Amino acid sequence: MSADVETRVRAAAAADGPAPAGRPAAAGAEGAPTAQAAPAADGRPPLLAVERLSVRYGGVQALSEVDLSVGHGQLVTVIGANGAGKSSLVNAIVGVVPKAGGRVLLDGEDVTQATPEALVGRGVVLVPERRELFAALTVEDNLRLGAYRRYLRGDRDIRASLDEVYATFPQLANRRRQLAGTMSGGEQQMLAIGRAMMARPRLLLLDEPSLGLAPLIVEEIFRVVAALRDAGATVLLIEQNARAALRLADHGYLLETGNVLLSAPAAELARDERVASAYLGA
Amino acid sequence: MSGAAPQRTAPGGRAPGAGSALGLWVRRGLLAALVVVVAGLPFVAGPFGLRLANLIGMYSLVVLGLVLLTGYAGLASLGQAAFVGTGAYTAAILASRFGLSPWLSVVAGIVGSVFVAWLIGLITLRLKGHFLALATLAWGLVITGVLRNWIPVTGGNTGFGSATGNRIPPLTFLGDPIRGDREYYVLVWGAVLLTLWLVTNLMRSRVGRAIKSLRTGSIAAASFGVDVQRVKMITFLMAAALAALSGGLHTYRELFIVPNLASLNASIDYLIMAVIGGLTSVWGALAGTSVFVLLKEQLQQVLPRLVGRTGNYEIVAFGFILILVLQYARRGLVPMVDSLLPRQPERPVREDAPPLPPRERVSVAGPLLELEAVTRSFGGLTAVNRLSFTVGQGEVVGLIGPNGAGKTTAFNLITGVLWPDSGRVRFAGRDITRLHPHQIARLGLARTFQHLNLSPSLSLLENVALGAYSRTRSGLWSGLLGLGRAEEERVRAEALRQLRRVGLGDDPFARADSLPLGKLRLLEVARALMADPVLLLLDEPAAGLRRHEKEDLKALVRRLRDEGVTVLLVEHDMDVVMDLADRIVVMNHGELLASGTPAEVRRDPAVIEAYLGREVA
Amino acid sequence: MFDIPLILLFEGLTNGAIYALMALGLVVLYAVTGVINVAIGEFVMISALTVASLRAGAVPGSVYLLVAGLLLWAVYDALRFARERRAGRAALGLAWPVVAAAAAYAATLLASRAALPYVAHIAVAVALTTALGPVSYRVIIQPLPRASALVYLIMTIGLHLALTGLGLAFWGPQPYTLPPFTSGRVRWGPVLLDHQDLWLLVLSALLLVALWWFLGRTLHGKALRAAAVNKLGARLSGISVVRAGSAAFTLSVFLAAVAGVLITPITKMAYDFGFLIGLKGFVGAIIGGLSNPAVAVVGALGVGVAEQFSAFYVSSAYKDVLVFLLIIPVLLVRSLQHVDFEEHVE
Repeated sequence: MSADVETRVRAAAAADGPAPAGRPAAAGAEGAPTAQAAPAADGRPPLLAVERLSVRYGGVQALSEVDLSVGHGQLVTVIGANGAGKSSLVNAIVGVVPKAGGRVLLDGEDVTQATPEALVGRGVVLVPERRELFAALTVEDNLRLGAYRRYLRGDRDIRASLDEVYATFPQLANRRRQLAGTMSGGEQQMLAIGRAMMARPRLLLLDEPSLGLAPLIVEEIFRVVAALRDAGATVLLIEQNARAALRLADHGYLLETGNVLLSAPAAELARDERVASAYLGA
Repeated sequence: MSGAAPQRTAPGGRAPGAGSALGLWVRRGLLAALVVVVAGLPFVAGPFGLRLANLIGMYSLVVLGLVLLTGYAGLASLGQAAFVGTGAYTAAILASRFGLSPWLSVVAGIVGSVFVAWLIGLITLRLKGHFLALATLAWGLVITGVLRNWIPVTGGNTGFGSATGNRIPPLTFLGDPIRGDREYYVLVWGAVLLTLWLVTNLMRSRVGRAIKSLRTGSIAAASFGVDVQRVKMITFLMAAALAALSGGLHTYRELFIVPNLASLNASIDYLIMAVIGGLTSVWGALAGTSVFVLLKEQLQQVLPRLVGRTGNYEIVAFGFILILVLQYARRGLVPMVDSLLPRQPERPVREDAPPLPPRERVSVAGPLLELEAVTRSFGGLTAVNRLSFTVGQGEVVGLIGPNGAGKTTAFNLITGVLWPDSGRVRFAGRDITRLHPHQIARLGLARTFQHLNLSPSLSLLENVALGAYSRTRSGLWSGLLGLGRAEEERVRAEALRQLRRVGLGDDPFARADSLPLGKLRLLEVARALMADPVLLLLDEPAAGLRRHEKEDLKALVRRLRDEGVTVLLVEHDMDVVMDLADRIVVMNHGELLASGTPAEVRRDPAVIEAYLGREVA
Repeated sequence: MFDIPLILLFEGLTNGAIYALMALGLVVLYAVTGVINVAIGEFVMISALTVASLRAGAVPGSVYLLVAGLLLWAVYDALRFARERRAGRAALGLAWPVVAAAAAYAATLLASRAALPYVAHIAVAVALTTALGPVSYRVIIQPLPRASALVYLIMTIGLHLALTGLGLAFWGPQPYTLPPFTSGRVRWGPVLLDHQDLWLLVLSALLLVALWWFLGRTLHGKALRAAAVNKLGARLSGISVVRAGSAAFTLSVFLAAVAGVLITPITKMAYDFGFLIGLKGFVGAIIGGLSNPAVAVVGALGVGVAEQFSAFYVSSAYKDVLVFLLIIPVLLVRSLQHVDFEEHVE
């Protein structure tokens, strides 16, 4: 890998400063892939545990026996070059694509066979790579539909959630009646996250929220994600923007061609040169 | 070729263990049995049996058209019976009212129906699958309505013919009138056998290959030079002609016809026959028709007795049969039986066939490919924004960029699948901005697809052979008459050569859907090479390949460059692209970000930031 | 001077209202599931003839159809649970269709024997016919979740054939008539309307408004639209696409069932009359591009009016022909707008 990149990555990491208090150090040796993310301070089992998950598309192994876990209240990121299998990972967890093997445990409970709709009911919501909004419906309709499962259960507290989302994303509040398909990319991403928030998720899965967005918008979105984590949500963030993701996260996994190459606390991963070479080639 | 040595292919491309002599003889036996039955029937069958046999024959002609149209070309039609009607009535009216000779009137019926089909096709053939089905339903009803209501001309619902005062002279052979089912049988089944011969020839020819390619995506077909609209129209007209022939035969069988011939119910019946027998099988047309006619006969006897009242209750049975077949035996009777029988060996490839003539080498002063400020938006999203770059002759250029950068859109803009909102694309100095994919293909551009565009049920050889479409000539008539065999042998030999070149020569007759994704990418490369391209566009060829397969791919591309082929590839795999490309063009957010040698690009801070991401506060 | 056009207009709107109900159902179904239901007209027929049977004190054949369908549902579910090895769900899954079948039969039997008022017969018939909706969806569409639109189309052709033939077996070839909801006539200028015409127009309008409100204003209706617009997005928001598909099918069948009891007092009904009504509903749906319900409804009203006008001014024999000819330019315009370049048929 070129010396230039290495220097830059080290410099960037140095600028981070020491890890803020409250983020526990990682168990396991540096660089060795560890199956566990660092458990949260209260020692509970992870909210999400993925065991030996495999995904196959027509003969290609997109994901090979991946282990991953996300503790309560953590923000874990999965980074890697395009084609590494990141999207396959979250799509398989949620049930959008079939699993060729492995288990998914939500707070200890086996949800491997659950459908995406059922998982929403259990508080696991995915914001997919292409946002998958209802373009022909208004912003407010999109948001309300995010709470559809709650509505079916008789939860009538949806108005409060709606107000929360509008408070977090003022741009959406100004565009309640606008059709989702006519909004800019950044606004659509915010709407997608807002729609997910409406389901009051225990676990929020974000697939490349920065995709195709200008840096300023990406900043704002990452701010929101950080705020969500600080408010107690558990987040699994898939990102191609490795730097920003590692800045934000507690723990990180580096995927390459369907395998976990590295698993380490985010700060360590940010300093690791193997990250750069995974993206730009040796 | 580095990597694992491929299994030595037997001469003629015949892979060991694929198809046996038993399979061949079983099928020959079945064919012989069929010939015996068809030839012997007039001698053993009574009048009732002959009547059924003639009906089966006449219906099969229409169903053969449906197999071509819907089974092979993927164009749904719920209105084929309408052409039976136009063929029948045109023949009847011309012979009866205008004194045209009976044989000529049948021909006139066919010509007239083909003309009507041409007009209808101009309007409806551009429609998507189900819209086309509804359109065919509509004009089927229109034509039936006209036949029922234009009483002065057609006689309306009471029918037209000798029984209602319009004398239709019978067909004559050497002066003697052809009367009675026994004599008519020879005519009908002569027509059926002739049609079977023509259609079987056609499906083995260049045009037949083009027709088959329509079903699994016309973009791939167009990318290899197939004029998709024209091929659709040809298929549509052939199906109409067959239906009209059947109509003419109806007219002269009883010298009396009724508008029900053309009705929607009849069109639905033909569809049922095709589905039962197998939409994609020429022999299925015969089988499905026979099953339908015989079963209907039986049910029409039995069911009214069960219900206790007269009526056409057999449609209930056929309704259930249709649903069950589609749910449980989608391919139909004949393909299913065929898959149960031992495989028959494939027609071996004549490797001694002379190679196809090479494409003219292009030599230009400037760059081979040039994009100038190309812009394309979709709704509010600008996918490609004032993109400009060049590809020089003999270069290998890599087009890279993070996810969503617009690379595949750029590809589609170059190959004519999409047209830019503004800007120009030039190939060998020639402006190709507003050309269609099949026109651009004929200039010497060949491509692969990010989301594969192959025919899963066809063999590797057949898939690859499509690539040579723009280099070959054999047209519709030579296809029908089986005259293009020599050229076909050359194409197949070339296809085998290209398969071996990419490392897939072991089993050229394997079905494409038996291969894993990585090998299918190589298959697409082989197909592109069949076009003897001047410029080869590869869309993520390395995705899903294993390490040694990637090495093979790199070696292949290097060899191609040495042979003078220019290559533009989109790729995410950095190892492959950095190693292979002479020059790299980097896109981000639809715009050009950087351009230069691999080493330069890797050091470029803007590129690093685009990939690794930017620090976010 | 405007007498005749006005009369034709009202007659056209009367028929057109029926076509509009069909068109709306077809568009919603296609948008959510990709299914073009060629058999929609048969449900018009079944609903009307079921009322006729009940009024005559006979058990309508449609209940046997429902029972058979529910039993088949139980069988399909049993097979599915066996494959997925979920025994617990299996017991419940097998029980309720059987119970429902028994209940439906009992209720229908009672309804045929008891001297119920007309409106009760109508309610039973519409309920019975509507119940055929989710049953048809479960038995025909759900087993093939990823088939192409063409395959669904051919399967609904099969359904059309089966239902038409069964209609013939249950009710015979003769046309049946039903009494109007109320008898009497109303004069409005040159236009003379039967009470039934008014019932038809008012009830259809109310139904269309109710549907507009349901689809546009309730969350369930929006969920249905969401499933039509983006299946993946719907699933990720917790909306079950399978349930949405079944709901859409049921909705379209309900509209057809209501249409049947509204129109039959005016035009009679036989085992094969429903198909033509369905086809004309199709023309309306196609005018709406199979995607825009509002345009489809207006288009269907237009079809009804055009039908009457062409019957009077051009030729009554050719009125059907002219209506179907209408499709061609509409499709032509639609096809020129489409820039799709990928067609996969399998």
